[in-house]
Amino acid sequence: MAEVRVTRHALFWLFAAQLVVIAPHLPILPLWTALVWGLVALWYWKIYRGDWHFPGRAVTWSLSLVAVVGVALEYRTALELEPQVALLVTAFILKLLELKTLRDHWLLLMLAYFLVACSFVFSTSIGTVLIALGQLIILLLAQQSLFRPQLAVRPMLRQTFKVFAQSIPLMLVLFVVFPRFGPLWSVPLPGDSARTGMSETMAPGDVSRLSRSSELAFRASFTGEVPPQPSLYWRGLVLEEFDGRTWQRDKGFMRPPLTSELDTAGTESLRYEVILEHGVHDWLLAIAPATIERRGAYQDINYQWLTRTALSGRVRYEAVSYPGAPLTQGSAYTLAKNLRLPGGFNPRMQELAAGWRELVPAERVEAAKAFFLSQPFVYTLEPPKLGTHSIDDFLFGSRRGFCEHYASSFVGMMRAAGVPARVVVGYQGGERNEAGNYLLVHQSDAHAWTEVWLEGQGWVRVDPTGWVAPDRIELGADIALAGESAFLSDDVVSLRRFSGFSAIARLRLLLDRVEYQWVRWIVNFDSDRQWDILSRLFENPDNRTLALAVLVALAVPLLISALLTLSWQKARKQVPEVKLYERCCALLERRGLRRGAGEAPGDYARRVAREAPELAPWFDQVTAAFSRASYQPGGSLAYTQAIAELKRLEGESPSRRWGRRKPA
Amino acid sequence: MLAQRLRDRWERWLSQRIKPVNQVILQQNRIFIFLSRTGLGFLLLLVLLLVMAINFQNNLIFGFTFWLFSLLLVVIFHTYANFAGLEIQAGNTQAVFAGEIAECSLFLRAHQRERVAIQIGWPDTGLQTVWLDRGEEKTLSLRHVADQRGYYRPPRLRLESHYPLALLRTWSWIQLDWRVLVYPAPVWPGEIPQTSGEHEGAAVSAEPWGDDFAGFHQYQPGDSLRRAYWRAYAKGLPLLIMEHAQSVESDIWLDWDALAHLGPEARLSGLCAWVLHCEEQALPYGLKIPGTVLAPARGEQHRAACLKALALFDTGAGAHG
Repeated sequence: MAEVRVTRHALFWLFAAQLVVIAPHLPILPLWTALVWGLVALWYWKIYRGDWHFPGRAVTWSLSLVAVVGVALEYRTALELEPQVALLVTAFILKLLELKTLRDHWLLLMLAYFLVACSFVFSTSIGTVLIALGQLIILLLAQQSLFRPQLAVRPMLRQTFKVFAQSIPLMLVLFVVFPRFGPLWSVPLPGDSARTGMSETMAPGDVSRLSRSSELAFRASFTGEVPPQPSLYWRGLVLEEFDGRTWQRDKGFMRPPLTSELDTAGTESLRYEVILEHGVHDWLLAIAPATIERRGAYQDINYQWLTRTALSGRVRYEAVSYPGAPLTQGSAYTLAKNLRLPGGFNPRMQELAAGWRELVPAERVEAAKAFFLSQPFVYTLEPPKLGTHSIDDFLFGSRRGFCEHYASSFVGMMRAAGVPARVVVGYQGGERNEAGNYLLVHQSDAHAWTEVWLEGQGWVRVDPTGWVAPDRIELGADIALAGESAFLSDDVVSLRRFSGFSAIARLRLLLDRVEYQWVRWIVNFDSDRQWDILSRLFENPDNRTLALAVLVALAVPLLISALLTLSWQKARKQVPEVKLYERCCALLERRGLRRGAGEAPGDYARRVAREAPELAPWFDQVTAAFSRASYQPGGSLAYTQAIAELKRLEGESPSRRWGRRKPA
Repeated sequence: MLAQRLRDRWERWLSQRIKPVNQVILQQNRIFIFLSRTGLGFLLLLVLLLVMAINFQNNLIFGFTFWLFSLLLVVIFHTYANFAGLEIQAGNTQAVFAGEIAECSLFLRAHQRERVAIQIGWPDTGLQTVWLDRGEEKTLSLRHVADQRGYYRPPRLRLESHYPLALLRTWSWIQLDWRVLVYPAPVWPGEIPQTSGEHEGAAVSAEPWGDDFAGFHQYQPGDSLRRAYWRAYAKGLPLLIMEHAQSVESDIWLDWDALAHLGPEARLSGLCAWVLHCEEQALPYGLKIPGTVLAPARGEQHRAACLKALALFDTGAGAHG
C-alpha cells in the first residue's frame, strides 16, 4: 500500500479529533490512557517528520498486548461496558502507529464517530450532548481538512455549519418517525450495580442511609394541580417478612396479579406521568391505589406495581391514582402471614401489645399512637445502634430513630396485638418545581410507613413517623431534616444544600426544569410519545397516511437543502458570452472560416484577420468583448456592458451584408 | 471473451453518449454520484450505531445516528455543487512524434463558487488535483502518450471529487475535442538515395572545386560535416564548410518508392527521419508519397507540411485541418 502524506494541518486536525473524542471518556478510563495518547501522538509526529520509522509488526503487536493486559488489570472484567470502551480507545490510539494510508486516516475518523456515540451510553444529559456537538464539529473539520492544501479554517467552518444546519430538519423527522421497538438482545448497562435507591429489604439504618444522597429518584408531572405534600405517599414495595431485625418482601416465587377491580366509585382521580431515573427497575412507584398503562407492568395482590422483566435505564409511565379508594384485597393467607412475628424477640413490646387485645382493632392503633405520643421520641437521621431486640431497644431504650424504626416497631406492635400489619417502603413528598408544575422526588425523600388491616376498610395506611415528627410529612424531608448534619452528606457540592438561599434554589429548579423537559421529550421518547405526536398531527392516522406523511417529511428537508445549495444554478445550459461568441463564430464558419478545435479566441482572430481581412475589424471587436465578458464577475456592470456589446455585434455581423464567401 | 465483448459494447455506448466537445459546463446530465469506499464504511457504522441505539434503547444514539445519516444525504448536494457549473475547455495541443508524450492544455473556469480538490486526468496516467477559487480560471496541462501517427484523440477525461466529507464520490467523463497531430516516429532507414545522379558526388565532394563551388563559410552548429573542408582543418584553420552552388540549388526528393523494401508504416517512419535529417542539414527537399507531392523547399513551414502529410497519410484525415 502506498504511503500517503497528508498535509501537516490535516494531521493536527486528526490529533485534535482524537483528543476531543478521548477526553470526555477519561472519567471511566484508566488514567494512563491520556499518557499513552500523548506518547503515541508524539511518536507518530516523529514518524511524520521523517525522524523515526514506523514500528515493526512485532512492536505494534506487543504494544497492543500490553494495552489489553493493562485494561484487564484495571477493570478485572471484560463483560462490562467500561473495559470495552477502554479497549476501543486504546485501539483508537495505537492505530496511529499504523497510519500509513489515507484509508487508515478515514478508519480512525469513523472510529472516532463511534466513540462519540459510546459516550451517550454513559450519560444522556444535555451537557453530554453539547460536548458531542463540539466533537462532531471537530470531526467534520478533520474530515474536510484532507481536501485543503493549506489551513483554511473559515471556509471549512462555513461548510461544516451549512451541512450541519441543513441536516437538522431531516434528523428531527427521522427521530420522530423512526419506529421504536425493544432491544434485539440484552446488553449490559453502565453502573447498574452501584446505584443508590430503595431496596427490597429494610433493616434499621437502611432508609436513613438514603437520606444522605441528594440523587434524584424520579420526577412526576401532574395533569392537574400537584396534590398537597401530606398526601404524596409514593408506594413502592410491601415488606411482610420479619426476622426480628430485617423486613423483607414475601419470598413467594409467584406474585399473583390483583384479582378484584379497584373500587374507584366516587373518588377523585389523579393523573400524572412518572420518569424513574437510571437504574434497573422491577417495580414502579405510584400513589396507591393506581392504574399504570405500561406493557409488562401489572399490579399484584398487595397492590404493588411490578414488571414482568426488569426495565433498565430511565423508565417512563403514566399513572392514574384514586387516593380515596380502599385497598380491599386481603386473602386469609395474606392476613395470616401479616400476623406472624418471630418468636423470642422483643418480649417487652410483645407484652405491651398483648395488653391491647381486648380493644377493637381500630382502637389498638390508637393505643399505639398514644404510646408514641406519651414518650419522648426523637426523629433523627443518626440513631444509636440497636441490639438483638431491636424493637425493644428502640421503644424502651434509645427512643431515637428514623422512619424505619417507627414503621418497624409499629408493625411489630400491631402484629403482637393481633392486627394484620405490614411495612411499606417508597417515597414521601417531593420538591415542587412550581414553574414546571412537576415534582422532583429525591432519594432523601425515601420513607417507610405501614398498613394495617381493618375489617370493612381493608388496608389502611398508618404512618407512625407522622405522630412523632409531623413536619416530615407536612413539610417534607428537606425541612424536617435541615438541621441534621448527616442529611445530604454524601454530596458535598449539592445545590440542594443551599435551599435556604432562594436565588440558588430558583436557579437549581430552573436547571432541573430544562433537564426534565429534555428527559421527558428526548431521552425518554418512546413509542407512546411517538403515537401521541403522530395522532395529534393526523386526525386518524392509518398506515397509508402515515407512510405518506413520513415520505413527505423526509423529502421536504432534503428539497429545501437542495434548493439552498444549488440555488445559484439557474436553468442555464451555457454562459451567455460563450453562446454569443459561438454564434459569431458560426457566422464566420459559414464563410469557410471554421474555428479549429482548441483554437484560442486570440489565435482565431489573428487567422481571421489573415484570411478574411475585411471581417477583421468586426471580429476583433467581438473577440475583445468576449474576453472582457469572460474575465468579469458575472452580474457586474462591466460584464453586462460586454454582453450587450456582444449582442449588438452579433446583430451587425458583416457576413449578413456581404453574403457567402467561397470556401478557401 | 464475453467480458471483453461487454466492455467493448459499454465503450461504444459511452462514446455515443459522451460526444466530443470543445467546451463543457458540468451539469446534472453528466455528473454521477455514489458512495465512496469511505462512504460504504460510514454506512456500516450507521447500521452499527442503529443496532446500538435499539439495544440500549438510547434516544440520543438514535438522534446521533439520524444526524449522521442526514449529513450523508445533505452532503450529496454539496458534493454536486462543488462539481456542477465548472467549465472545462479544451486548449491547444502541440504536434508530437509517435510514442512521445502529447501535452494537452485545458482551461478550467470556476465561475460562481469555489472548487475544492477536483481531480482531473486520464485514469491510466493518474489524476491531478486542482483547487479553484471563486471566479478563478486555471490552465492545466495534461500528458498522455500518443502512440499512433495521425490525429490522436486523447481518451475520455475523468473528473472526480470526494469533497467535502469523502463519503461520496462524484465523477464525470468528458470527451474533449482535442486533436493532437502525431507524426510518424522517425526511424533512420539508411542514406538518402540520389534520385537521378545529377548531383552525384558533388554533395559529398571533399575538395573545394568544381563548377558549382561557391565559397566557404565558417562552421556553425547544424552544418553537415560532410561538407567540411577537412584538409584545411587538418592544417589548423578553423573548420570551413564548402558551399556548392549546385548542391544548394539541387533538390533532394524523399521518395516513397525509394523505400520499396519496407512496409508502409516503416516507409513513413523512414521518410520522417529523412525530413528531419534534411532540415537539420539545411538541404532543400521535396516529398513524394502516393497522393501528395510537396515541391522542394526548406524551413519550418515546409517541414511541418511534410511531416503532416506523412502523419495523415492514408488515415482519411488529410483532407482538412
